[in-house]
Amino acid sequence: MFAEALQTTTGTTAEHKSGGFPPFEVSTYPSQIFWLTVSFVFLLVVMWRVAVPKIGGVIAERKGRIQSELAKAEESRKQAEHAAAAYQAPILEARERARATSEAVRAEVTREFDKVKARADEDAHRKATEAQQRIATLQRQARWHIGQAAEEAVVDIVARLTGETIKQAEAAAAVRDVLKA
Amino acid sequence: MALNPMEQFEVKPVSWAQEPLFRIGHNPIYFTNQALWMIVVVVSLSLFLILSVSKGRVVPTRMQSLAELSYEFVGGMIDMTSGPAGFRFFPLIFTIFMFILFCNGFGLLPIAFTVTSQIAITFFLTAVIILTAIITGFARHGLGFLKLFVIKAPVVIMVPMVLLEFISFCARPISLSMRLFANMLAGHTMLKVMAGFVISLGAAGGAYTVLAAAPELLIVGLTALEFLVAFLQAYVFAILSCIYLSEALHLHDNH
Repeated sequence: MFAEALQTTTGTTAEHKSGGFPPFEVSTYPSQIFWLTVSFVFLLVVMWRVAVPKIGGVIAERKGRIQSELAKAEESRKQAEHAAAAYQAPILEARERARATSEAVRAEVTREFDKVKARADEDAHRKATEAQQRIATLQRQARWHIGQAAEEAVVDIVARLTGETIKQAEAAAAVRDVLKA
Repeated sequence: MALNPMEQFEVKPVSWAQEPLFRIGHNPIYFTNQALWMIVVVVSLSLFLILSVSKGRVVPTRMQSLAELSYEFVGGMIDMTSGPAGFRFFPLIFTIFMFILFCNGFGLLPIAFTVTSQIAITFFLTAVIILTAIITGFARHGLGFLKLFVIKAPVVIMVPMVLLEFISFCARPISLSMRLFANMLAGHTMLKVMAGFVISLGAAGGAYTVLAAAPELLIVGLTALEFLVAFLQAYVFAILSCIYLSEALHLHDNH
């Protein structure tokens, strides 16, 4: 049909040259190239000036938004960490202080206890010593009294049995001998 | 004529504009079926990519997701092949990829004309890429761009290698344009041939009518395959474009 139209306008028969294989129909090339040039240039300009920047812009904007949202999330996370640290700090501090206080009190109590115990020990020791001394004194006095009584008894017995009067000093020596044995 | 599988590739003036619109030199320019579908592709592509992101939602709709996905897909291709420097070509690669993808995709509609099944179209697109690569290469490296053909090796190996590199460079526009063209052409021809079988067998009557189900089922499978090819060829064209442009930018530095 194209070839016929061509024939009427230019007087040549393209069909004979190409052998009837439509893509090699040279007479159609001017129309093909013309419309392709028009379409392609139009499309290239539309893509280049409108579509590509627009789509690229949308994608870049989304990327930017994701980036900024991620940055914001990271910021929030840091803030939360700070808040947690700020919340933990006084608790740790108070715990530390409590331990220090209890440590100090325990040391104080121990010291006080040791002091009181030392004083009590000393007191007891002194009292024991005094008591022992008193016991020793009493023993000595008792021994002295026994000696006295024994001397008098010796003088008296000797006087009664023999009628002789012995000296006080002799009796004392005799008693001392017996007591020592 | 109705069963000719090549008929679908005929570029012809639309029925309501048989006369040439104007002439460039001696060449009459017609408003053709191909022109119509190119306009459909360009308009729908522009509307899709602009309207879907017009609100710039942070949480995208499905359409906006598709637009962003396409954008990032092409971005990934460029980043993979030529790194950050390649992003100056982003609009070009993006346009070529989306244009081919939509031409291939619309071509799968039963009534549509497959724009990319024409060698004139694929060669034009290839020329845009190769010329961009050559101009970029000379603008960036001056005559040093010719080092593209030189590989460090002993002279005995280097001389034939330069020749091979040069031939390979010259073969690029041919392979790049032929690949897309031939894939589209072959796929659609095959579908048409199968469809012809369905009609012939169906019309034959009797047992043949039942047999018509076989090519019909094959068409279903082939159509699915053609969707894959439509995407894959757009991707292949775009990634090879990226590689050629990357070479113009970096010579052999990053290979």
